[in-house]
Amino acid sequence: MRNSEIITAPYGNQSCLRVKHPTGLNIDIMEMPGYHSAYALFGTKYGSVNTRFKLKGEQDFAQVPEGIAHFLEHKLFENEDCDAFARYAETGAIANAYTSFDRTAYLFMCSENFKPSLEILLDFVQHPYFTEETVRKEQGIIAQEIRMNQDEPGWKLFFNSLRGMYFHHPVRIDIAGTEQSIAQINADLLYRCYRTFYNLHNMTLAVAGDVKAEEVLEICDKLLIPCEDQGLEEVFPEEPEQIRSAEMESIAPVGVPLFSLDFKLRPRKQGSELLRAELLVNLAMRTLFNSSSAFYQEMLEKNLINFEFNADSPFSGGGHFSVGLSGESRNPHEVRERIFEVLEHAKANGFDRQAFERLKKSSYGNMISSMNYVDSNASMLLDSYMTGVKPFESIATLADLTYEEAWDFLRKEVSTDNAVLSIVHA
Amino acid sequence: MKEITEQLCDGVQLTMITEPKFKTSHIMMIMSMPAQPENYAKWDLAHSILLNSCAKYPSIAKMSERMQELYGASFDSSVAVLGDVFQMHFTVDVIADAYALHQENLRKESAEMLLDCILHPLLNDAGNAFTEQAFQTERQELLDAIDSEINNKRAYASKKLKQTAFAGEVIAYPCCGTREDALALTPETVYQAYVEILAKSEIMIYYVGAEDAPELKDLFRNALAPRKIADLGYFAPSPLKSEVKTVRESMDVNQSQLLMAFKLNTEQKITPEQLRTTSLIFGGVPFSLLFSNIREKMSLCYYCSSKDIFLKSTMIVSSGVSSENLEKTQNAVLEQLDLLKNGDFEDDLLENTKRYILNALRLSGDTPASCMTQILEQRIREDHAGLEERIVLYEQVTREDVIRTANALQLDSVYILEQEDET
Repeated sequence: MRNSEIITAPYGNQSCLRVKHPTGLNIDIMEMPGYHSAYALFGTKYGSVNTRFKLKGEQDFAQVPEGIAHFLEHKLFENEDCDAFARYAETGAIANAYTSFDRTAYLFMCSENFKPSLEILLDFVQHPYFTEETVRKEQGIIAQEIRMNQDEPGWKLFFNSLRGMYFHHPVRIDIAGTEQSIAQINADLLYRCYRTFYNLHNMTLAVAGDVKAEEVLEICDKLLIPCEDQGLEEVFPEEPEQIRSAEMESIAPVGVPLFSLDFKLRPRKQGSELLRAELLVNLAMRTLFNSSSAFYQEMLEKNLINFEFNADSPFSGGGHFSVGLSGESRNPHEVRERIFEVLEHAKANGFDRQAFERLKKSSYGNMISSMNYVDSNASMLLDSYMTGVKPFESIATLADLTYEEAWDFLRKEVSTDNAVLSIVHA
Repeated sequence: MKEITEQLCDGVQLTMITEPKFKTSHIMMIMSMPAQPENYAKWDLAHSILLNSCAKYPSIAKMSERMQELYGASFDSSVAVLGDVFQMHFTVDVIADAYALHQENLRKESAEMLLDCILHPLLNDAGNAFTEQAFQTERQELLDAIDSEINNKRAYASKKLKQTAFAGEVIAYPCCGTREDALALTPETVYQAYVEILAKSEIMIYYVGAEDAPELKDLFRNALAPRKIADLGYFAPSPLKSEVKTVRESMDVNQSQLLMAFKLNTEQKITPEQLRTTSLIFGGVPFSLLFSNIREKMSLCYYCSSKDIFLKSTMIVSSGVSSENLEKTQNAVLEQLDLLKNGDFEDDLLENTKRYILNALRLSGDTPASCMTQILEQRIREDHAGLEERIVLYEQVTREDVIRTANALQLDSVYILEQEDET
């Protein structure tokens, strides 16, 4: 008898199976009849922000160099005999991995040989192999990745904004670390972080597409290595409510200056409350500033923004939460003043209720559209585990949101005192 | 999956793919004309104006409202030059009618909106030009986009390499035109250029959705007039230069960009499948020669990859490296190509690459966009090979084909974007 639950979307005619495997691993499987491809993600709640931690029974918190989660992702593809890409080459699967602020995920997509590809995934992620020599070799590759990111003005804009919002939270640190911090990484540190975070109680497997749940579970039964829950504890530094700096500026070769205006919000524990807050603030901000708004039309006519302007999706994780707007402008300060005026007016007087309902309908359509895709379904499953909500909870929560709640959120939570203007110009 | 192609009238063709698993309706219209660089800027500006307004929805705000009413339908347009052909694409993507909450006919309404935009644009009072306001907004947008090309260093370097490798060919000219072109435009000239492309271009319409859409046939047939279309030359091999041309540029960057264009010796008959397979073995898969050696063994870069442009008989290698390693990387790329030319590679590399390609091809029926791409590629390659036939063509690529293709590839151009010397 498995500890499992079938979860059905309230809209979109889709469902999935969530299983708590005896090894501690969370498994989500979405069978998609008619599809020829399958997509699998094996992920851990370990990203760039997880730099201070301890296990049950340990006295002190460990502090590790910046960029180590991302470094570990690179190195895990190698084992003693050959690398994972060489093994996938024999199944034809397209494989990759990524590290973000709060997670690392290993993935593959295939149209045949799903079972052997899944076996490779579960096997190599559970069998690390690091040596000082292979670690040194990787430092050159990652140094080039860091430099590549430094040449991305959008990346610079984003991290400058985070550094303007946060005093201490590690979200302000580049995911890949710095050339100096990755030089401190060695095989022992990688093993320590691996044993801490790559524990099945801290991980999930998300599979969608042309798969049979029973086949996935059989492979899991065969290959998952049981492990003890180690009682992982993490701490984030105490973070003041206010921002560190209202303006951040950087110089880079760009055409039109890039800007973002991000509002630091009160962080919430991950789960349903945070999901609701994200959907509310997203809808409210899009109502005020999206391309159908009076603000957008006016700014465009005055040549203060161009079509790059966007109301961005909220950005959140353990101990941080923000929402923002970004685009290109030759006068970002004037755009900021106008955004503040529109925001204050909306907080005092409310905003266009019809536009709010239209955008809610539009969000519903976008969520249904994303169900078309094997990869976006698998990613949604992974994301739901990582953020502590149930699969399909977003579309159910969306249906329940009201204009009054969104206005209330805007009034109480979004403050112009906590806004950071980040600019990158030539 | 059901696929029906029908000629609606001279020069206008509709392909409808019904696939019940999809939850959306995608409609794409492609207008194709022989490429004329002198008109690129006009055509680029025209498609942007059409995307953001029309007589019925006369501002971007009204257009956006309409898209939101259609459950967040997306409406997009773009331009491209393929071989010697210029294409203007319009795409609308909406959820399938079955998921509408109030029984709206979203597919039909979206198709009507697409036609409103391309057939009934917002014009001045005389009806002979786009409105001054729409023109000014979109031209500024175009100028900003041209100025901001520098923001994405990889894309910028790729464009510069193409200008070098394909100098004098229609593909070398920026498909949105230049700053000078944009500044010389008027609402009248842009509208006239659009009227011409609308009347004379070949029009291909694609629908991919969960349900049959018989209404689309009548809708498009009644809306679009027959036309006499010019011959479209998609396959336009680029001649190999007698000497390798190297262009260097410096900028305030943290990482240098190295791009190399290799062209096929035209004496050799190389098929698209042979070139694609060779390019992937060389640097297109994570177990390729470039990835395994230049990245993994030599640790010179984060990426070093190759891709082919079959219509131009060209393979492009790109990499991001430190300035001090530019020469070493360039030499290493040439050494790896020599290995391929000499047949110094494992049989497994070919077999695994073919498996990778076949896997990717079979994935293509799982998204509406890739379903359309498959059919569009048949038109462009003019071989009318369907998916299963294409798979067979890849299965037939041999080790000898790869060696022959590698030997036919010769270095034509190099573009280097390097870090500025701080002294």
